Amino acid sequence: MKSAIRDLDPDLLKDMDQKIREIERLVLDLEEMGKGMPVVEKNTRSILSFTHVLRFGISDVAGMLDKQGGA
Amino acid sequence: MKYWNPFAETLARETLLELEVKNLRKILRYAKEHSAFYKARYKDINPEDIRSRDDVRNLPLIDKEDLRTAQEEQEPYPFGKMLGVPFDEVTAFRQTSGTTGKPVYVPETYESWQWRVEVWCQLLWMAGFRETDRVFVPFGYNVYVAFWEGHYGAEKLGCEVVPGGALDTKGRINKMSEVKATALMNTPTYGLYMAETARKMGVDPRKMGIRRMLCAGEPLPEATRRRLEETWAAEVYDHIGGTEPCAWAAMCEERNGLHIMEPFFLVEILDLESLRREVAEGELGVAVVTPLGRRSFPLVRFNTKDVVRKGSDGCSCGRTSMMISKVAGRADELRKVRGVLFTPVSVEEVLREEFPAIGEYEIVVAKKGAMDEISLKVEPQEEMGADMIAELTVEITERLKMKTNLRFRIEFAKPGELPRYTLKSRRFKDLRGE
Repeated sequence: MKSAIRDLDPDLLKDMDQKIREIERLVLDLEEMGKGMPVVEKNTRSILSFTHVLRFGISDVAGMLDKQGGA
Repeated sequence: MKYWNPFAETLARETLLELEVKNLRKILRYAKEHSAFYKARYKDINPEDIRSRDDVRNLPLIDKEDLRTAQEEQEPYPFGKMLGVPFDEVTAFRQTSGTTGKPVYVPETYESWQWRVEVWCQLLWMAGFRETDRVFVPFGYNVYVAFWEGHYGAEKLGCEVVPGGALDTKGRINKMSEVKATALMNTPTYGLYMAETARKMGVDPRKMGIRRMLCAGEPLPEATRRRLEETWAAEVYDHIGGTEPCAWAAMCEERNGLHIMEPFFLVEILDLESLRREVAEGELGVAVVTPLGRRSFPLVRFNTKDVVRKGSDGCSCGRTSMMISKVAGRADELRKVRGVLFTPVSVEEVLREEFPAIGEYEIVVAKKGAMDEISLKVEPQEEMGADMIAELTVEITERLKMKTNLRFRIEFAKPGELPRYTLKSRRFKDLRGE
């Protein structure tokens, strides 16, 4: 079956992967800054759960396509 | 947008498979490092040696009994050696229903829960659930996972969710009417029972405004699915899954078979005898499932014991995931009766497809002397005269003989006599071992 991803922009996927990594880095910095403060620790943990999901659905796919030289 | 994740759902088949093997290596590596069960079970296995689906088949299978053993009298209570994260990271407790023995206890962290919810978001999106839906869930969810997942999945994708626990069935019908629900999540059995109750209350379920229904908790033969669609004037969607692995296959808008929820899971459909060979399209096999992104309770090659018929790769909807054309039942419900292999789903298919006058039923297999006897008690939707009962008895006997190669002893119950089930129905009893 022909992949419909050909109609989607692979650069968009790469850019989204980049943003997810940036968010993750920022949240980890924030977590470090707020160590010992439940309000920061618990909320940053929650955000990292969502970046885990985004990594799975977006970054992993981007990684595969990048390895193959695009879509 | 037609797809929840257009990149992942339409990925070229070979890339999808490669991604799944890569993620299996990752979860295996993780499990070996963090779970006492996998440390022992996989001590001689190097995850880096897994390069293809053929390599995956060299890994040991695990089943529910393995999980029970790994939990029984093992610390930390109650998750034992299966736990894949520090105990203080667990945020939710779920368990299996215990239908086949001691329940399995399933820990979730906030992260693993969000991963499960994401699976459900894609599943619900495929079934057409959208922000404009008001979803009524007619259950108290208790410690069982399916409707929690459905609730949170629907909420995350923007639906308005109305939990309908702590009400009886009449109360639920009234509440659904009051809030003008547009969608339902329920077991197939309860979907039929709610419709029956609504009609008794003078409410036509076809006019209640329900546009779609997602069924959970029980097998949904095509004939039952169509009966539910007719009964509710709604689109009815099926999925398959379990407490341990999550929902791993679901229907898309075409409603013609189930998509494996790739790349969330690596699913193998293996031959029933040896569990060593992946079956070909059209063949029946047992589903072996590996969830690829959940760390709290890692499962590698979990034998679900669900018997399914393998479909094609891809669908006219454009998704490239592997299909299941039919859920045939549970391996542990496959029985030899008088030397014939029998699954209770075949009875449901005949009754729902060809005998609309029949509502509930119950199958009992017992020993009569040295012989197996299989009997079927059927309950008509309304009172029936003796002539009609005699006629239907002959017809049902003949149709079941053709479908299953078994002669059933047919008995008629009075309307309302057989038990109604809200969660998993227990319409099949094998008394030969008692």
